[in-house]
Amino acid sequence: MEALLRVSNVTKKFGLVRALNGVSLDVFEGEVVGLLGPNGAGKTTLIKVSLGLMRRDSGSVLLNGLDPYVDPEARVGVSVIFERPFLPDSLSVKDLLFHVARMYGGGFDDVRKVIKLAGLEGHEWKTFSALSAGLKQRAAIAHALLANPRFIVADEPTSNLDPVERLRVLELIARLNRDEGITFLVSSHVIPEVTRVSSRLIVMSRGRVIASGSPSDLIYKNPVARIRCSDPEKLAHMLKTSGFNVRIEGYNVLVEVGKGGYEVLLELLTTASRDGVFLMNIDFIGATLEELLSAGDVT
Amino acid sequence: MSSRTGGLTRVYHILYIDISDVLRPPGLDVLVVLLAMLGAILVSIQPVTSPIIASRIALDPTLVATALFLAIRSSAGLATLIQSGILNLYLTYPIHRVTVAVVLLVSRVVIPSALILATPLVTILILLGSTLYRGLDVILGMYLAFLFQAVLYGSIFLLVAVRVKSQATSGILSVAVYFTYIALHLILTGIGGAIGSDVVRRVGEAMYLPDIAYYAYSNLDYEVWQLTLVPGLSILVILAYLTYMSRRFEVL
Repeated sequence: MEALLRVSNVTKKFGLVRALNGVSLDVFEGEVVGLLGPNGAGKTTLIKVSLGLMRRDSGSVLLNGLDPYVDPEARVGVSVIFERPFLPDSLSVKDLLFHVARMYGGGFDDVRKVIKLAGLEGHEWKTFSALSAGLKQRAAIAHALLANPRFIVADEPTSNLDPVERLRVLELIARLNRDEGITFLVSSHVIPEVTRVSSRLIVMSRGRVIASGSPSDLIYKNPVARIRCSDPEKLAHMLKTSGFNVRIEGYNVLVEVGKGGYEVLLELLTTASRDGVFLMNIDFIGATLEELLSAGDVT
Repeated sequence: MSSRTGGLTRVYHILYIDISDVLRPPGLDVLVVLLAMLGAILVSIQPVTSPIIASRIALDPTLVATALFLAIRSSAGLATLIQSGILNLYLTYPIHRVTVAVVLLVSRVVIPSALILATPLVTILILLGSTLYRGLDVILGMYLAFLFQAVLYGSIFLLVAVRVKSQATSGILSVAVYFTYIALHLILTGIGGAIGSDVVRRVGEAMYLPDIAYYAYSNLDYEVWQLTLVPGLSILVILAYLTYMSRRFEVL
């Protein structure tokens, strides 16, 4: 299958800092690829280099089979949603979208369609700065959809949004992928958000790709039990002496289940309960970003 | 949803979007009203019959206003565009970055300069049209000389903006560059005259194209190469700006 985006061994330095250090990745048609990593991992730099907005020092980037830094045709059918969306403020959102639609051969019908799709109805006559953070993100999504995109690159599309808006944006991404067949590359440092929509994850740290695979491989292979109890110190000590990797966060004890297994853990919890540790709640959760980063040899 | 469109269509719509930003009120609208009033006041105080003199009276102070407008709205405005991420947005369209750079030059330098410089001339022509209409070619020539001078300033300011990428710094630097240029023009002209160096004096004079155009139309002493210095410098600066935009420019 032909990759929509092929990044091969790309490096990018800012002074002495290597923002990208031999990064390679492919994004194929129909995928939603989650690009995970902490702040400063190089996600935004990778996105800018991939779109031809930034020069690379070495390596190659092919977007739609063309080098996007040299050939603007590489960006045909490709749209971007930036972390902090900002559209020109001198026109109303609807007028602005109309001119962008005309750029791609569309018209008012397309504008009406994307306004409805992005949930901007009732706000389209406002200027961009008059919109709330959530509506700004929706305007940016509407703007991105006007290019009739096969591929949308979204750089932290849910940052600066409240939980309800975050959920709506993620649902919209999932719907566009499912119904319109649009391919996505979505960057984030919030695992639950990315796993909600992604079919594949790529984990970056310090300018390198340190892990990649399906969410089930990366996140849920080594689940963590989060146990809320009356005596975290005592419980942690018991679990540690039985060979579990344990750490305490407030009243919670976080236990890597994979090392010892569910059965052993449940037996130990029963014993702890008999010994007077009151167990209030147990959640089994996926790996955290820190755990993914520390287990960076998963690839 | 959409079909492929020609490059010119894309250029037109980016130009429209960007020029809406440059011309948004308040700014150019207030300046245009003030300059129209200035033109009317100047010719009322000193009614002239010579199109050369009328053009200079109207356009010399207007060029100062144009330069300051370009420093604030064009240079600092472009830096704002860079800082806010809008320029990045323009660069995500399937348009070559040189084309985007040309659009910015046209929308942020050429069109505002042409509009601002034309304003007092229109007023003067309305008020003194019956006496000046025979010299329309001269007025047009003087207008183009001032326009070239403004384009030189504006293209330097754009280069400053894309290089420093900071709104405040590019605005301040642009104003500083403008006054340095004017000072250099006056110093070279003065020093050349004082030490009797014809070359230095003529270089100093040629740095301000309206002076040379004035000499040419008034049959005063000038050399043809003096008419080419400002357009030549403009072309060099524009080439440097376009080269920087196409090969080096990136938003961090």
